[in-house]
Amino acid sequence: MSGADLIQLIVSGLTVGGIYALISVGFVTIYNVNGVINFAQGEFVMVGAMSAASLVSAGCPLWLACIISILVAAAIGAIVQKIALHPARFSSEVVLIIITIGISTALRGIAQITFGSNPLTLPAFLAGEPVRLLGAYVPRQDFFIVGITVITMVLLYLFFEKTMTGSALRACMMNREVSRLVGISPNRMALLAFGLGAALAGIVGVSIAPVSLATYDMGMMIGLKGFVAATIGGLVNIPGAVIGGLLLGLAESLGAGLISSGYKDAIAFLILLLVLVFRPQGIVGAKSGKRV
Amino acid sequence: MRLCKKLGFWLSLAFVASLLGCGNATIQTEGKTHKIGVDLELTGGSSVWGVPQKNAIEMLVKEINEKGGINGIPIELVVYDNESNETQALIVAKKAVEQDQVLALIGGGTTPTTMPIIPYVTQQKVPIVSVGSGDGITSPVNEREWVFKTPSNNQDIAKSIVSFLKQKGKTSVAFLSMNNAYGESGKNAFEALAAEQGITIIASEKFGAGDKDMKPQLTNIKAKNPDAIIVWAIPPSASIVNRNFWELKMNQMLIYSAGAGANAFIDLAGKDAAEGTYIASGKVWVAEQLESNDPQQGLLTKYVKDYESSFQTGVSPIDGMAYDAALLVTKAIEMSGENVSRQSIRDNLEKIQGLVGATGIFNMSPDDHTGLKPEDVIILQVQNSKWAIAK
Amino acid sequence: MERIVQVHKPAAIGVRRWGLLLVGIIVAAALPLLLNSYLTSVLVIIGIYCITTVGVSLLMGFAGLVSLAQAAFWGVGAYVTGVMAVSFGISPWLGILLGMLISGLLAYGLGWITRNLNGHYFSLATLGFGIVLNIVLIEESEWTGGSSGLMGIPGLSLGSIPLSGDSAWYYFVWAIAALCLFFCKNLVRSGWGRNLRSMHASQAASESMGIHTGEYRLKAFVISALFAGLSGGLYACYMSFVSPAVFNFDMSIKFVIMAVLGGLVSIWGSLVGVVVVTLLVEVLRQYVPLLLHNSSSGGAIEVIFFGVLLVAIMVYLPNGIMGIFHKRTSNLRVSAK
Repeated sequence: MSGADLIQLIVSGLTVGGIYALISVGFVTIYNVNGVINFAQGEFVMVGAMSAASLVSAGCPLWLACIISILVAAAIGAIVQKIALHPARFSSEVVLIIITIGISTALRGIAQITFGSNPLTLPAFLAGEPVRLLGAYVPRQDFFIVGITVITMVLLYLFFEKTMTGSALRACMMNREVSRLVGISPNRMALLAFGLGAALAGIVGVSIAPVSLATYDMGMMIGLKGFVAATIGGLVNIPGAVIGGLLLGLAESLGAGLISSGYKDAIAFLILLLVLVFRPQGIVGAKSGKRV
Repeated sequence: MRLCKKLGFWLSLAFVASLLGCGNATIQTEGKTHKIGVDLELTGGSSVWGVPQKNAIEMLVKEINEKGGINGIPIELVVYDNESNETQALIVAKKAVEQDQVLALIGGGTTPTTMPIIPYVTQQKVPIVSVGSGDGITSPVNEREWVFKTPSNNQDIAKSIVSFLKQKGKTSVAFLSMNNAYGESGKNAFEALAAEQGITIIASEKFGAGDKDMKPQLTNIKAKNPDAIIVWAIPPSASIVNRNFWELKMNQMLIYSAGAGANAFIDLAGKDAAEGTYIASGKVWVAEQLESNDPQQGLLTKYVKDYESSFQTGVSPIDGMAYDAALLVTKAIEMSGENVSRQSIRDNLEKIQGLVGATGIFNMSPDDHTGLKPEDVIILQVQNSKWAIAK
Repeated sequence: MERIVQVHKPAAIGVRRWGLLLVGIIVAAALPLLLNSYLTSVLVIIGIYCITTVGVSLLMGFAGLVSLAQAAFWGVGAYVTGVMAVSFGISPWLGILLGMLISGLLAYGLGWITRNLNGHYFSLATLGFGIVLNIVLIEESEWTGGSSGLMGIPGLSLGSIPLSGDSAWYYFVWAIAALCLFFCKNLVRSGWGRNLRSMHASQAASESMGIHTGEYRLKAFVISALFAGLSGGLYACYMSFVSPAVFNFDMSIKFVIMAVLGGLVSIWGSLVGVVVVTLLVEVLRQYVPLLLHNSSSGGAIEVIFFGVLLVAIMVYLPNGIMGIFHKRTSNLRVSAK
């Protein structure tokens, strides 16, 4: 395996890692505000991807289709939160998890009817041959994915740190009861967080559809991987989620390339197990006495 | 407590009622019909195949019924979804056989969903034509009296790929397969044949059904520099592999097995990426390019036209296989004349000779319940964004 | 003054209960004779699922742990039985026992290394474990047959009489399922079970009373894995063919759903949950095509229906179906975080 090949592995790994990072950021946002592990996160990615693909094949210009799809994903996230999660907000975690599972199942079925069972594709944002970088070939779409991830992170940072709503959301993520005391409505925040998480997923969907194609059942595995990334990062903060995502992508790529491709998925979940056993607060998280 | 008892009573009643309700016959149609059961993957991981397969079967049956049915009796399809799950495949088969009293079954669409049904149909003596590609479905033939299948044997596909490789002088290959039943059986078939025929497999990689990026595996393969890469996968992963292959600027010969043939393979992989890719498949995609004396030309041209106009989407070899399954069953019913029964359908299936189908020309016999030959599989290549017969 | 005290007549209530039970048993025993083989086989599958779900219910409802790896333990039971029989010619009876043993050992190992994890983290660990195990089943194809599956698993026979036909399997599986249900019911009612429940309610409180919560957790987890292993072995012998696709994360979730839908407040909830979910699938299969007169989207409509129903039941009946009967001000309803 030459140096160029190794770099190729690293570059692919980082790109996939960026995807996982975005998904896990959505997860972490929802988890910290709504208190629910959202099993439907992958389906929101799917909604974004499939909507964009269908719109484009119906003749809509690419940039418009992307924006509409992200809004569609956010809207569906908001609707789902309002009708399914809000009424059950006092239920136990298990019940909430099962509700999100039911939502993911329903979304998959709706997608199959609306979009059909055939895979769909989106044209690449920048047409052209892959670019040579340090001996590795990087498809142009990957630059977009990385770029979009970075821009989204920056926007999220500005949102959380510099805006009122963002700060309110952050407060809610840290402590719901106390934020209520200062007048932040937890219900509004829950709705916002879910919509935001879904929008982030929609962005992922739209970015990866050109390279990974879109099928109505793409959500499950992608959601799980984002999940694993979030856990590696500690489930408590956004930078952790991003780091978790990048690490996961790298580990998968290097593992598949250097060790064994059959066990590639196993690598991701073995890492999950190792992190949970030895460092459950995640690579980035602070040690919390989360035992009782 | 009274509420509990009442609720309990009504719930138990509902339970028994739904049980009995499920056990009753379905839609009552007037008059006699020939019932054929369809047990396919309409949801779940293999639905990308299951739905077009069902469409193809329904298209044929509709056409036959419009002409008055078989010997005047219409065909009634009883379609069930096995959710790409083998437990459900068995339950659904039982439902079709015992409740709907079907004459024959078409299904499952994959090997794992077909295998559990085999002991059952053998015991119940119901003929089944599977659309699964595993060679184990119809062999050993003496234990598969009631089981037939339409996809070409993986062995035949491997044979046609291997002979093409030798024709082109490629002797060292890399093998990339999907981590499911389809990919695995292809790998076994190809490895066995390659060893015999002097082709060396210098790299063997796998990827999962849900994987979105196969560049790590391809990078590994690229490092070993094979002459050709053989890929055994189903969509959409198959198209992703092609795309990644192009992104890595690899220029080996890229040959797919029949299962990769999605209706939209070229679009999914991207026109640039797909250019020059090969596939070993039935002739369905090159219907207009066949010689007029090719026995399949007429049927294929018509099939392509009918399917595309009915379903607004391109055909693929896979729905062709389901179409052939329906062709076989309806032909066997026709051959049974006045006395149509499960036994007569089974016996006549074995006697079918020279039946032109989408996948090939079927010649069944008591020793061969697939009926196809390696020659039914040809190598196609994407030229100018369209499939053409490879030279 | 005389106070007339009403005395409950326990004997009367007892007789009524036993009477109902007897009627129930007679009906259940008669079912295979009334129904065709398709429905009987649905009931056999219900029985097999029930055995695993009882374990899930014990673990979730009484020990408070959500395991997303039950399908993997189910798979271990199935594959050990299958591989032993096919590759080594070992009798399936022994194979099932071996399967249970290995399931239990794996659960012990996993439970031990995750002994300090709680709530989500434990569930995530089981998630990881389940998926890794599933991949191992696929990869080690020399033994397991890989993705193409393991064929030719022999059925069971009692002495020289083979267990064949859905009716025979029905009685056999349900006898075992009944035993499992009663075993768990007694376990939950016993001293051990009480400790388990108190542990679920508050770990700190139970530990302060001297209950080694770690031990109880582990035992509950192992017991649930034993049940899953048993169920898996039976499944392998019934289907005569297994493939890794069945023992995946999706199936683990299904077991959890069946347990929660039925209601975690009672062990019977597992039975109710399995019955409701499985029958629902069959009812949908039967009636949705009739309503639609168009089989194109039938499968997807059932999926949507199931998802929506699941959400609706969880929103309005979070304690599951048995929760209607047991007004337990249970530890399942927590205040807003």
